[in-house]
Amino acid sequence: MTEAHSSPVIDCDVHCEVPSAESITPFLSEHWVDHVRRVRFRQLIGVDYTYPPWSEMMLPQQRNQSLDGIRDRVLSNADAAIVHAYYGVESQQHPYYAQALAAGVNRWLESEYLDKEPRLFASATIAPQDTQGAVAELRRVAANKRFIQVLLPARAPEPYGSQRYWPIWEAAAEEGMAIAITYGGSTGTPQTPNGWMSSLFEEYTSFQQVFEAHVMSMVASGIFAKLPDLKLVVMESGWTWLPGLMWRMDTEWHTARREVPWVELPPSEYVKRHVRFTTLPIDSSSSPKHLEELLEQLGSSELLMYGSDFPRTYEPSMENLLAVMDAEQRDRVLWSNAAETYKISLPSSASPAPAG
Amino acid sequence: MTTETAERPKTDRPGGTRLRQIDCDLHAYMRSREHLKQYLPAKQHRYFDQVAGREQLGLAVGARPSRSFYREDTFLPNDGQPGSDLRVTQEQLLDRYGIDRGILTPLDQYGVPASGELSRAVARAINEWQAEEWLSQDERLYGSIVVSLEDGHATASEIARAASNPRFVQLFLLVPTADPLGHPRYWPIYEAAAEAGLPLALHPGGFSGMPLTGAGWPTYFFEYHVSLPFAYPVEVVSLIYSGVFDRLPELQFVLQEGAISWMIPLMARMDRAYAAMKEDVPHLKEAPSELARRHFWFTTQPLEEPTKPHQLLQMFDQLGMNDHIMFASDYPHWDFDAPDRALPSSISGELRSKIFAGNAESLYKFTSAQ
Amino acid sequence: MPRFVVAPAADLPPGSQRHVTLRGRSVAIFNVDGKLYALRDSCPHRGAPLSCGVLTGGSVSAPTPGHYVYDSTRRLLRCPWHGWEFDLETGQSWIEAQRLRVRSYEVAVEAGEALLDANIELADISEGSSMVPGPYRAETFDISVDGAYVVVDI
Repeated sequence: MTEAHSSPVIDCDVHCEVPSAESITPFLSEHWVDHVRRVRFRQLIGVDYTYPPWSEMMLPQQRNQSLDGIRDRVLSNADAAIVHAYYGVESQQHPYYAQALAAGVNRWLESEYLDKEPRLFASATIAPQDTQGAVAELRRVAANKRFIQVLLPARAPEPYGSQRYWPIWEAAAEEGMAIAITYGGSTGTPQTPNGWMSSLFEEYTSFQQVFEAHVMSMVASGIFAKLPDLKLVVMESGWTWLPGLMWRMDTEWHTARREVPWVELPPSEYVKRHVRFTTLPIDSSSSPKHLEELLEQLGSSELLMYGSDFPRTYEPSMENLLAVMDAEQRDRVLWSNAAETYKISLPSSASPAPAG
Repeated sequence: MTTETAERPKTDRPGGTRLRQIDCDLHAYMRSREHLKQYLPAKQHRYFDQVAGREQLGLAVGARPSRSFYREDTFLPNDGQPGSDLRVTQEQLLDRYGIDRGILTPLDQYGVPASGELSRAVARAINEWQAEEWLSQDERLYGSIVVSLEDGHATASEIARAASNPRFVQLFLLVPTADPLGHPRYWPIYEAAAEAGLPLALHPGGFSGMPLTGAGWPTYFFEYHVSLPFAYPVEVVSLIYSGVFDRLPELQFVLQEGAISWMIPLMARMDRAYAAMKEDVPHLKEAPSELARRHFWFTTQPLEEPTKPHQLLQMFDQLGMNDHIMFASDYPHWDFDAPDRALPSSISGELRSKIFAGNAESLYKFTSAQ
Repeated sequence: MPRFVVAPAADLPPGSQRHVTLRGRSVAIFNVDGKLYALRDSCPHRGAPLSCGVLTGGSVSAPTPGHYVYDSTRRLLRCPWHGWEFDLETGQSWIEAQRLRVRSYEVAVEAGEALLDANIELADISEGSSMVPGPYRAETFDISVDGAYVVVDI
């Protein structure tokens, strides 16, 4: 964002980058230190697959994701930010290895970012393929209240409503943490029901169905009915597919109600109560009319939370979206939706502006 | 006392001109596998019995809430296959609603492998059956050519053979496919379609052996049924990226039974990536949304049903493809859309008549005089 | 309120359901275990003939995921097309009951004697719904003093 805003700002989507394997080895056990040195471990395949280093769109050359870079480029416009460091741990099948690396990333984030900068909060990395290990890591990081959610990649062997994940969601709800699903990930299987695509362009552009599958799965599973405080944050999804998905789900719910009777409210109602979406990118034209219509179709001003997806930049921009919002919507998207979702209070310097 | 007959739906427009209606997704079924065998060489029967039904492997999702996939009132006596009796289809659909033209979409392709001699024989059998038992019996009906998808060149001759009957107006492929449709091995089929001047219709119902979504298999039928169009963004992106529209600029694809709204974010995302990744897509000469708007069509069942109908108009406006949306009933499936109830009244006037007939007349080169 | 004699009661035994047209209005009549119900024969969603619907064995709810509670005292009518479910008694949708409702009508069995002089019409009646494969069969019946008849108020 370029313009100053009177309301506080929470940036809910800021990427850190683990610079090298050496960054996390101080946080690994002797066994895994020995392993990563012996095999000349660099990083897991999910990282390069999700953010190919040759792609300026996915990884801008002029990026600085160090704490200084984030202070300069993110915290200059925001009162608080939520950082994460996607590390591709889902792309390693070995449950203990994957979980050890996840814990390493979390400890590194804690020592390099959270401990040094009070305006930062973080998403913890967990390896969802190992339910028990993921729960244990979630419980461990929850001791630090600035880990406010757990991070999961959108690519998954089973959609996140599946019962295999429920112990993780139950632990998250108990600890007051949200669940975040973000773009990318690797499962070693094709992203599409039609097999492998041949380019990043194709995989990137056809990604919306992966997010849709998770949102629908979580709603259908009844986990939101079971855990009334659970919050799901969908990051970097493009989000403009949501009205269409809600319309389709609400129609089909009448037919399928007998199959999933625990879905007692229209599916869109669970989305409005439990699911939040970070704002960028916006998969729409920049037309103010279209953006305004999309906001109307969402049917709730509580769904969107500002997320810059730093270090990437987009058109339409956050400014395009803010331009079609009224003051109440701007307050909601810039900070209060995030403050409520994550139950975070801002540093005292950033006192909330009165609504309107 | 007289017998009650069907109430005549109000399809007449003010001013007296009758609204023409073309149904672009009308399922015809064979009565049974034995019925298909009547059209299959005897030497294929044993192999056919071994593999038929494999398409069901992809359907074991959830506890389907209704008997099979059909309207309850379309079963023939003794649980007979819905959509397999022309007289009933006439009575329940064509006559009752005054449908002017219907395009048959033979969904049941018996799950045989998508390549090889048997696959070609089954495709030919389905095409011959359509011509013999449906097209020749009712002049309102048109056919869809079933192809042996993985067979490329070998299936091109069947396309040419079937297309010599002008009542076949499109090719018919089931998605998901084994590979995204931009793959070069599918191009011979596109060349044969272009040669014959026919569009290709895609319809959910294929079985690729891979999970239905990039997040794995859905759990419940509820998710499964909403997920049906999830293969479409993939096919659209793949076809656009492949450059096939440069080679065959006349090629047209109809996306059946996949809803519509998803195309709007897809086009925006493609255009954004196109601008940001110029050097990775040097072969694309124009914005992907331009290609999407020119080469893809939709059928209406299922059309999104926002509780506020004006939002449907917003959707059409953002899509910008009013010339490419065509009415479909999906008879005899349970999610059937009756012509008199398929579109909310907010869709009126010229747009309504284009969706009901004008757009299909333009794609399929039907003359509008009836 | 116009009243219509729909059929001799014996023609609508328990388990039967049928479509009748009363002055151009489509009505679906059900006999569930001896109790009669009449609804407008058109689903409020997409106009499907509810007379072709399926009566469920009960209603289903779930206090928590996976815990199906089956209530066989509350049978529902499932629309023959999209499967939306309605309460036969009130015509209300099982879900979103405030938003969705089918018009329901008074229906009763009355003695022929009481009907002979009343201001009452006979229904147009066809075998089942017009949506069921033909051939249709026109039925006529006369009211006799000692008969019993199904009467609908619309």
